[in-house]
Amino acid sequence: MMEIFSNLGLGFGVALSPMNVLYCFIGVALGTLIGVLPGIGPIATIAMLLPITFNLPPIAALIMLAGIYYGAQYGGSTSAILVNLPGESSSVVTCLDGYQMARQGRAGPALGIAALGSFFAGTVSTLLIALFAPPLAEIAFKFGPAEYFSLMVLGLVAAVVLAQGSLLKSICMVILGLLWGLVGTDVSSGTQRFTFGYSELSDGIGFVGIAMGLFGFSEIISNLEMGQNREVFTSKVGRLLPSLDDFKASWKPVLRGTGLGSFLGILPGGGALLSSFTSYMVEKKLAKDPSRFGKGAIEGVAGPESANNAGAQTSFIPLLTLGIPSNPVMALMIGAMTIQGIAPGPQVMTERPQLFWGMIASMWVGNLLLVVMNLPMIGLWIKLLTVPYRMLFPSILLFCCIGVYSLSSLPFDVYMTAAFGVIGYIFIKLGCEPAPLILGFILGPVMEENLRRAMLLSRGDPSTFFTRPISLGLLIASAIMLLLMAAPVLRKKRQEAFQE
Amino acid sequence: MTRFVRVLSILLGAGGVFALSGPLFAQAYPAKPVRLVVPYAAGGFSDVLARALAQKMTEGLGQQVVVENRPGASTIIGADAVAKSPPDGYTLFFSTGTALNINQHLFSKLPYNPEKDFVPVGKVAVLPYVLLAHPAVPANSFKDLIAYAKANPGKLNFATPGNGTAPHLAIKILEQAAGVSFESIHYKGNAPATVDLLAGQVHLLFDGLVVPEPHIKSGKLKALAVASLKRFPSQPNIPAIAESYPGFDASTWYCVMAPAGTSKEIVSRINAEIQKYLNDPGNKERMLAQGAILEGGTPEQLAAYLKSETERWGTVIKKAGIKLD
Amino acid sequence: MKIRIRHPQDFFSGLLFIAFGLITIIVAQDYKFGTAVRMGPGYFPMVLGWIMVALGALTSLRSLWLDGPPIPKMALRPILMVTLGVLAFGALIDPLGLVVATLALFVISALGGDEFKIKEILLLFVLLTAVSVGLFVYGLGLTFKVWPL
Repeated sequence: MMEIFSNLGLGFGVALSPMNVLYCFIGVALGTLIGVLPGIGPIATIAMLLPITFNLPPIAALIMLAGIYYGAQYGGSTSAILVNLPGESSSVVTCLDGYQMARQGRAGPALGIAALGSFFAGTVSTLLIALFAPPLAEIAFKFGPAEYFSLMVLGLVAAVVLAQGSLLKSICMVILGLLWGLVGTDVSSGTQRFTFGYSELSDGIGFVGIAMGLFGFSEIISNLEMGQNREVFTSKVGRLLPSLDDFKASWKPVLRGTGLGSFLGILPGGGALLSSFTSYMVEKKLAKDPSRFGKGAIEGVAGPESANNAGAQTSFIPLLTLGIPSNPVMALMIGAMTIQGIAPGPQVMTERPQLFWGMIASMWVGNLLLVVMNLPMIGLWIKLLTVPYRMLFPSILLFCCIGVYSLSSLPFDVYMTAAFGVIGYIFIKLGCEPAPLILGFILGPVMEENLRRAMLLSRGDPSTFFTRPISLGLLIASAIMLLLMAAPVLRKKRQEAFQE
Repeated sequence: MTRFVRVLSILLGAGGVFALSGPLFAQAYPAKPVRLVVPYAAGGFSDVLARALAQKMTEGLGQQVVVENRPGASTIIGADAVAKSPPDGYTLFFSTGTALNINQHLFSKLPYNPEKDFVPVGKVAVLPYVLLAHPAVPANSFKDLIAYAKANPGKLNFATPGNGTAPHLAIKILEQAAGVSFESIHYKGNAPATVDLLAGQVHLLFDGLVVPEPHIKSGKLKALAVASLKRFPSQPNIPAIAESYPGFDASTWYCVMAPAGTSKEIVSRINAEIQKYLNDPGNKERMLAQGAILEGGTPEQLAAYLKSETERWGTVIKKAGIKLD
Repeated sequence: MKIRIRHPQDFFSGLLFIAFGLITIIVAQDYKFGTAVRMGPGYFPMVLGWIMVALGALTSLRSLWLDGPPIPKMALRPILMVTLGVLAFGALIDPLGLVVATLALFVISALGGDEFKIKEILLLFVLLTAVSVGLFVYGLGLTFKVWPL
């Protein structure tokens, strides 16, 4: 235990050197900026900065790049709350209640609780990494294809809870998301599926295009059609920071979100993504009045935002302890490390303790900088909402178009986004909610891949899903969830029957 | 209307500030930034290598060399973009064998012609594969492994980063050369495959040296062989598969290509810049630490190499019966 | 008994789901189905396609006795103009560069709003073009074509 303190002391000694604080600041500031801009993500930014880092000391380079990554997670929630544009896949959930809060003039509290919740989550998960990184890394080894499949089943069950309307329709939307997720090259056979001859589709439909179209564009279109009597945002700006009541409502969701996010972030196969969705589901299930969710419940922002940030931090664990990237950003970090002549892996901790602990300490410093920087920015962001909508919406469209185009330099992707805008508008009119679809879309490919892999590895024995304890546990949890969901419907049916 | 004109003039004024250079004729090459198209996503080894090379070329050419990632469709999107670019030396292709001599055997039709749409500029590096095994695999040498695989056909699970990828094809040539069969388990890239290999969910994997090296040192993985013709300079204890099966060679290699029709002068200028990068001993060492061997040559040498590789992979793929699309 | 659609939203959602399911099933005919051990690329799509059709049909049928609100009116202009504007941006960015594409996006999409003030839009255009060129091209170093030349 004492060792941890001396290690952290060493780390903070490194992280708090003026130069490293400066690079940390550059990183998180740049990260926030690109996070706010829709489409442009940390991957492109880090890739572009990679050559610059050749000439920096290794620790400064890594501190800056890591700052870009978790700074972008912060920024992503800002545009989700303000204009319903999920910059990162984990911000989709934030759109659900965060944007509604903004429309009710509560953008300030939403942004505030997102920042403070994220800071708390970042602090806890940084501590977790410092204390338990190596044993936590072992968790990743417990998750083979069978476990991932079962985890995805649980995730899909959770997806249904995201919607407020009819159960049947949200199940349909999940399935539709799964179908869209099929588009692209099949990993196991290399077959191009549902690409209709377009090579642009061979890597699947881009997440950014779908999220922008279904959430951002369709929202713009339906705001426009309200015409003169449109009042997108209430004219009263409201308070800038969360009130005491907001904090009372939020502290438990923040705690739960932090726990969930820290755990799921460790899993390399899309675990961090699941964390915000799972947190939302938990909060909605635990709430006294679940009907408030989707209409601006602060718990629906606080929990997922904390989970998302905790997950972003703990997703460094596989990188730091195993040298294996859990997502493309981590792959870039490995690239940056190797360019600096550092072989990433378990030996970094012992061979270069200053680098290892310095980076961990810098994450906390970075989170602090983010809060200090973002809380005063809230006022500025809210000012932005007072710009007349007729000028706001073309600007949003432009940043979206540039963002989508910057991802691959393909005009095709811009066309796709436009198409999803139309589809999203039709969904609004038909009362179909896009959030479950998005989750199905993200989880579907992972689920299929792991199902097929698990079946191959067990040589066709489906009992593999029930004989492996973690997989069995996840499936039982899914079954319980399904029962809980069906219960209110059944109860209602019975009451109706009695009344007749 | 006057207001409108004023707005327009502001617009044009702003234009003057942001305009790049004017007409590009009659200026010495290079007169504007050069694009180096990488057909892979940012962050992979190819991207890192391309960016290192681009930085050096920027110094030598006196113009910005910008890396542009055009990932997707197993390099087809990037290759096609370059093939359809003007052959003026301002678009270059940072390619691997996949785009140039593997895709045409895997796909029934390609939007570009790998042999006619490009001219070779120069080879850059080779990244040999290492045959990795989980410690639980009852074989401590390459020979043991082949013997075990022969005795237990189809029992060993061999992870790949995707159907038709170079490591998957390497498994196929190993199967053909040694007369064994593995169960190929496809992953989306090598990262998830490595996690499952470390966990023992799968038994074998072909990967570059950099990620597995620490795990080999700590005994969490066994390195049974390298797939290049010769042993790896920094790992002389690991035998080459070619020692058992002469001529066995499977690796990813990187080269620069230009759109067909690019002038000889430009090609040799770029080739000279590549040599500058390769001759820097610091770069050699840095790349070796990442498991790659810098390896250059003239455009003619590259052309001959491309020809022989195209034939070799054609035979392998036909024999293995792999077809995508 | 006369069949009446009581929940038009659900009825048409169901039809939409059925359509997506059928497309999936038809296209997936071309992919190998495989076996449960060696699932081909067609296995998952085929199974999901049928589930989609079944659930879509259930949604539509249910709308015959479940009451629901009518489908809200759709206004054609916003959706048309916003979509056209974005499509124009996509079509112009490669051949003519960012400045022209932005102008097209602004003018066309602004026509979708209820007040169209050309001066305002042009001012916004100048402002945001400068911002985005500065931010994306110079700041973030994205490789964009800026001018038609």
